[in-house]
Amino acid sequence: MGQVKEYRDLVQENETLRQQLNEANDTIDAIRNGEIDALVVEGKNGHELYTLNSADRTYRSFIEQMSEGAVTLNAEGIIVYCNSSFANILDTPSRDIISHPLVEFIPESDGKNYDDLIFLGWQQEIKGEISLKKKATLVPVQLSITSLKMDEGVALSIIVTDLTSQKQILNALKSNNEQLEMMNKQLESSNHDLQQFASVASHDLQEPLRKIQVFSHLLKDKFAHELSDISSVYLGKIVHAANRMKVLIIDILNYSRLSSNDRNYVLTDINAMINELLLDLELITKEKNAVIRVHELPHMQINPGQMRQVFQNLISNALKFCKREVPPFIEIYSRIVTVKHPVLDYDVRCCNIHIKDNGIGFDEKFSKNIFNLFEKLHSKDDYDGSGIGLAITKKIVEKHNGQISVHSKMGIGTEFILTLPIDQEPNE
Amino acid sequence: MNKRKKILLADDDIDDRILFESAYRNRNDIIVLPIAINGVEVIQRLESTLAPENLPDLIILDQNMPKMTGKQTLSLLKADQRYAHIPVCVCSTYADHHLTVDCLKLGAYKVFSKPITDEEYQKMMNDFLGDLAVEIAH
Amino acid sequence: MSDAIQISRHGGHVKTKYVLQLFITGATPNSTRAIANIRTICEQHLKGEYELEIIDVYQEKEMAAMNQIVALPMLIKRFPLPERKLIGDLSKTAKVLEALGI
Repeated sequence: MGQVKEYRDLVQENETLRQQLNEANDTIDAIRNGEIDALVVEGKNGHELYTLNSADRTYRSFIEQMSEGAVTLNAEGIIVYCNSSFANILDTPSRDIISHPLVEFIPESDGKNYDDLIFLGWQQEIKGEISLKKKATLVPVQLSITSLKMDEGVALSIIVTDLTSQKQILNALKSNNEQLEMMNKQLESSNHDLQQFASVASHDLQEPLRKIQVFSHLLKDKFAHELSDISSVYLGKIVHAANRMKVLIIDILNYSRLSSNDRNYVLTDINAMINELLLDLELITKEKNAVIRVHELPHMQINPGQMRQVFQNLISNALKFCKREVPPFIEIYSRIVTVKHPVLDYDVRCCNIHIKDNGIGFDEKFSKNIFNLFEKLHSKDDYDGSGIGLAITKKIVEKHNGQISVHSKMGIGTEFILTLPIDQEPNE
Repeated sequence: MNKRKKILLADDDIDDRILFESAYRNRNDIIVLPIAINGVEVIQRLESTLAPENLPDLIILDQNMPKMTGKQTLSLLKADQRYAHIPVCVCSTYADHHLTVDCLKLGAYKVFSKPITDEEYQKMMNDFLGDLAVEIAH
Repeated sequence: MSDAIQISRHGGHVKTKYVLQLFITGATPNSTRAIANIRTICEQHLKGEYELEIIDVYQEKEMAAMNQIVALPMLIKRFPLPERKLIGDLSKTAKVLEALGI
């Protein structure tokens, strides 16, 4: 029995030895063929890993060629390694960098900042901004610091990112912004000046205008019997022209006032506002036998003073441009609609207010023109008007973030549609 | 029994003073007191009126006056206990919304645009005098 | 060859799982090649029957000492027994298959 076992044991032993020999041979072959990257050597500190130079190449090339600067500091803060990018950042050859303390390249003003960063860097990964001395100038950089435990000891690994171009861009943006702000202020101030001018001009213009009107009327009323026919006609023209001028000045004043940023939105009962307005127009309404039917309109956030002008304008127009033998019939009603915000694309709850009349109408091809400043479709002799009314109306509607449109048919009538958001953004 | 109402006007424009006076010359429900040429004179006039029953019943102020505007004069009058009870109207070539609101807030009785025709002058005065006015046949 | 006998003895239905460990040194050239090569070989010859662990001794230093590694990269076949070791980039497929006993 013993002898059989022995034989099997021997065979096994032989097999094992053969295996070991094969492995040893394979190892030697592998080394010879350069298939090895590293060797494990038993040194005084236990097992040490020796990486062959060729194996290192990948890492070395990587660090060497990367666009960021890389620096390794030893425990005393001496630069033991730096890559060429770092040398470029400092515009100094690397031989003048390695073995120097990094603090040599830190300006005095940043001394404390540097000490703090390094202190923290030994304890945890940290990032910070600092300046480095680049010959005679300073370059802003970001340091990304990690501590490394290597076989030879501890070290600080620092990745250095040049922030010069970033800072330049930031500065350009800042100066751009400042310029914009200044231009804005100038615009606002110039706007304010224009408004002041318009305000003063219109007051100062109205004074002599009134004189013209008063004394023309006096001549007409008190001295008509002393005037020849032709004198009376001339006088009439003076009166008429003065009246037109008055309307023009008032309209210009109102238009100029709309440029300011007065976003005073108040939840208003539109029906109540229109009813008040109709009281003012009572005289002319009766004169023309006009019927004005106002349906229920929603309460909306509007600037009441301005919106009043809009309705005054549109209703006056409807009364003015009526057919000669047909009493004007004006209907005002509303529809709630949802409109897509033109820029931000979300849904806005709006109200379409229709002001429809049965007046003389106009060719729809002029539907854009009529909102232009000073634009009129009729001669001043046929219909009075400054040509500013609809321009003011449009400006007010747009100030309310709304739109105005018009449909018309000559000889049939006209319909204005105001599209207004029911709620306005709160004032800033 | 209706006493004639004493009207004190302040206006720096000579034409407007003449127009005002001639418009109301023939009314027997009012007395047009000598017209002041600015707000300062209004105050002086009031201060030199010793008897309270001789104070004007209505003061009308033009807005655009030198030294003190109508609005400023109004403000002073309403702040003075002696004269605050007198109704004060402010007139302007064009009485816009801002002026109207400001003056009413300060305690003005009415704010009016300056009349042009005689008809408008009478209407304005009738308005000021309220129910006590006597309709003047035109 | 002995491994093949093992399988047949059990009727050929038993799937003997191969447990392999490849020790490498990060992204060094031979290590990278070894990884690619062993993956290919496993997919082609051991599909579904293997478990491959790749250990980077740069990141796990103790593993080098514990496993009596002499040089890297090194492949160790833990199972099926016997344990076999192979050093190098594993580019000689025939040698690898032989070491794995396939």
